[in-house]
Amino acid sequence: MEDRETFHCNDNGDAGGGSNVVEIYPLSRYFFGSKDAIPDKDDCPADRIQRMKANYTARGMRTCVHGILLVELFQHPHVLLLQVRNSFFKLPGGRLRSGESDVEGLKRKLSRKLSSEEKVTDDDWQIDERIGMWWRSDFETLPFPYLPPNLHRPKECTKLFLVKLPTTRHFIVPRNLKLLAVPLCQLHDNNETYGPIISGIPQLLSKFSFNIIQD
Amino acid sequence: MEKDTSVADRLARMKVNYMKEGMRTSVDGILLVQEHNHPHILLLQIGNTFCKLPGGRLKPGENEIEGLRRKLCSKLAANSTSFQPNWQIGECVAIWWRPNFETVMYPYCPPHITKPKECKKLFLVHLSEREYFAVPKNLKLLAVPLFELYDNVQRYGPVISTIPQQLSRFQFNMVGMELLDNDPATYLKNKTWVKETNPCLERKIRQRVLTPLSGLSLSLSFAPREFVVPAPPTNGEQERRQPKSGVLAVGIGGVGLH
Repeated sequence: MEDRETFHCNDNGDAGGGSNVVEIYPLSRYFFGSKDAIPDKDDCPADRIQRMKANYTARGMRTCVHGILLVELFQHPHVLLLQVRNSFFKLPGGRLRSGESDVEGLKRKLSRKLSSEEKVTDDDWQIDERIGMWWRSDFETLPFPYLPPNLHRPKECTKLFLVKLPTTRHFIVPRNLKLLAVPLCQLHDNNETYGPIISGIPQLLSKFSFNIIQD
Repeated sequence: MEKDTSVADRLARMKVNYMKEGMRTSVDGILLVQEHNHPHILLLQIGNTFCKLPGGRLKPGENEIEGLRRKLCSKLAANSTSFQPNWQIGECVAIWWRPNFETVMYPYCPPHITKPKECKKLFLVHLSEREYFAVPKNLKLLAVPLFELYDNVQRYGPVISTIPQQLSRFQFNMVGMELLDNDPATYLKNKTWVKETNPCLERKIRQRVLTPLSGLSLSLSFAPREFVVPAPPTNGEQERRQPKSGVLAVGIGGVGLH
C-alpha cells in the first residue's frame, strides 16, 4: 500500500534511541508443531498464590521476563500469545533463576515454550530492547507500570522485551498450550480478555515502524 | 491562545487543513519532573478540566525536532529572548494515529486505513538544572504524577493516560533530594512558576522572582513545593551512577534567579 509507506516515522536520528524500524514477516513463513505437554505446576489459582508466597520468602522478589514476538497477517502486526486451558492468555516467558540475566532467562524460557527439546541448548533468539516493566505489590493484585511511591518491597517485576523473529522458523509448542497470533487492534483496550499487561502492548509498540516484508 | 471553542470546531478546522496540506503531523513533549520521589509529567490545563501535553502541529515540511522546539517555546517559554530554555529533545516514545475526522486515536495505524488524518508523536524532553517557564494567561501548568495518569482515561484521554506504560521501561534516577539544602539563597521559598506572559514580562518576572511569591500559584495535583534541580552529573559521574543503559536521569525543573 503505497500511501502507507509515507506514514512510517522516518528515523531522523533523534537523541534517544537506535532504529525504531522492525521487520516482520508473514505468518505463512512460520511452521508450527507440537511436543510433550509441560505439566502445570499448580492445580488451582490458590495453590499458585501459595507457591509464589513460598518462593518470595525463600528468594525475594520474583522477576519475570516475557517476549513479544510479532508476525504479519492482513497487513497488520500480530502478537504470538499462548493460551492455557482455552481460557487465559500469556506471553511466552517466565521466571528468572537467581543470578540469571534477563536475556539469558528469556532465551531459556522461549526455547522451553516454543522450541523442540533437542534445540533448547543452542537456540538462537534475537532479543531486542526492553519495552515495558510492570510491578506488583502482591501476587493477587493488579500490576502497575511504575513502582508505586509507597511500595518499597515489590513482590514481582515483569519485564517485556521485543523479540525479532528470523525470516522463517519452526515453532514447537507443548501440547497443552495453544499458540495464537492476535492482532494489535484486538489487544488494544481489551483489558477484560487479556489483562493490563497484554492489552497494553499496542501502546508499547506504537513508536516502532513495522516494515512488512512480503514474499 | 486556543484556536477552537469546541471539539466540533476543532475537527472542522482539521478537515480544512487536511484538504490543504494532507495528513497532519503533531508533536508533543513529555517533560518530566520529580516530586516525592515519583515522576511527574508537565501538563497544560485549559479551563477547568481539559489537559494537554505541550506541543502542536508541524508546519508542512518542518522537521519534527525543530517543530517541537518551536511549540515548546511558544507554550512554555517567555517572550523575552534572554529566558529561552535550551530544549533537549530525546527519543520518540509513542505514536498515535487518527483514522478519521473524529476524536478517537489508536497506537497503530488501523488495518484498511490508507489515509490517516493525523499522526501524533510523543517525545521525551530532558529538562536541565533549572528551567524558566512562562505560561500563557489562559493556561495552567500542572505537574501530574504517573500514578494519577495511569488508567485514568476519563480525565486525561487515551494518549496521556497511557504514558506511564510507555515510560515503564526506563528506570528513573531521581536526582535532587540531597541538594535541597545546599543553596538556600538561590531558590525561592514558595512558588516558583511564572504564570502570565505579556509585553511587560521581563520586568514582571524580575519583580516576582526576587520577592516571596504569595499571589502567584502553580496548580499542582498535590501540595505545591519549590522545585530545585541540582547540576546534572558530568559524563564521568553519570557513568558511575548509572551503569546500565536505559536509565533516565530525571531532574526537577524550577525557576532560576538571574
